[in-house]
Amino acid sequence: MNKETVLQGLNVFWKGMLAIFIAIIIIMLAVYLLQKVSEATDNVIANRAATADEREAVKQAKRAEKEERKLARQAAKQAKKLQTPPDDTTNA
Amino acid sequence: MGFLIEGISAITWQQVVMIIIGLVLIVLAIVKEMEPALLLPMGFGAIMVNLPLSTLADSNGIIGWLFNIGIDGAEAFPLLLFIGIGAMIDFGPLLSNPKLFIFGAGAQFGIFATIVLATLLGFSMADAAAIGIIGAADGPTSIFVANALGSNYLGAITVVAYSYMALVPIIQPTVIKLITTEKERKIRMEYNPKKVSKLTKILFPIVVTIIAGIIAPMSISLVGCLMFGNLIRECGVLDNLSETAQKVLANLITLLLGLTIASQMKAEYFLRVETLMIMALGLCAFVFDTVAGVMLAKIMNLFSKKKINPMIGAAGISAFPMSARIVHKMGLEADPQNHLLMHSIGCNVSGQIASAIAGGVVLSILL
Repeated sequence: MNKETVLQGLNVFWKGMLAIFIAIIIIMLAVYLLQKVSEATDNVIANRAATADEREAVKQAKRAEKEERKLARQAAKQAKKLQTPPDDTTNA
Repeated sequence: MGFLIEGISAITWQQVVMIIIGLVLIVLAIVKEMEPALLLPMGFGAIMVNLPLSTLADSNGIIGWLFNIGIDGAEAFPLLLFIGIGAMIDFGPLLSNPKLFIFGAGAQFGIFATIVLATLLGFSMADAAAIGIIGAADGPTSIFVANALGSNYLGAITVVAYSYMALVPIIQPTVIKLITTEKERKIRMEYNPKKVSKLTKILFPIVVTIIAGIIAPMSISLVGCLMFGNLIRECGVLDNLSETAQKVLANLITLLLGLTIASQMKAEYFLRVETLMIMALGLCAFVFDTVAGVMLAKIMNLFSKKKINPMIGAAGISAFPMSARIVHKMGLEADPQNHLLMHSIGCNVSGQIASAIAGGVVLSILL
């Protein structure tokens, strides 16, 4: 048994354990951070998707409203036409 | 006709012993199914290199050439095998519960404790460190570190590392039962996995490589290859490469690695008293790993509200997935409703990363 080698072994022991714990704790923190970032990214994407859906819904509602108004106008016109008698037939 | 008896007259008793050891390895591989992919080529290789007048392990023989190219040159075989292993591992259970990372670190205690023990037994620092790495419970890491340190016991270290990995189902339950109570083994752990996004799974191997590379630069090749394999798996656009790495590459390298290691199993390198000491130290390394993992979990229980089943600490070694399965089985034995598989798998894959980093740390300190 060489005392110097044993001391060197003890040196490797504490340095090694310290290094491995530091490395693993940093990786662990990095994973927590990665999860937070990806959660945040997911939320932003989901929000964007939600706003895009809302905008589309408003557009569709407006389009439907326009369509309804157009149809109402056309119906009114047709009703007007039906109420007024044609001039030519009376003359003949 | 003298040439016919040239071989038989040149045989030594040491060679006969090595041939018997080769046969034992083959029997263990086939009959007991102990790491057959590695022990069988190693056993057969040991017979081939120990036949009298065999030149296979010489530098111009096929096994010697494979050793020079695949291990001695740039440690290509263990590193390429790590790509395959990385492609096989799903880090999902670990990423959904990052607390489990700590057990991977704790279970590396066996490496460093065995290094001290080996120096006490009179081994040189390089050999002691190479022997300690058996505690990584990871064959490729043991080969990589032992070769990088220029250890004289590469063959013995590899045989011992793989043998004890195969004996994990015997070693770990015995040790765990000795240091835990029935009540502790019955502790149930809830499994509420968080959703792990694809982005996290892709960024994880990159981040780990960078962190490990900065803290222990010598671990870049080990951790980098492991993480590269995992990136291929998780990126989602290289399915064919991932499958090739998991199956073809891993199998091919394992086959060559077994034969190559046999070059270090020549009687003159292997039949020494030190080989028996290495076997004893290897066992100590596995026992220390298990004890440290369990004790770390017990210490964490003193400070946390949610109790951890101490057995999962033992799964922090790198023997994947054997160790996780053992812990799961022991949990079920203690309480049929106690399912610990996902927790122990998380610890086990953490051990895979930690052991590669530990190998790099040892090299960074000593080289």
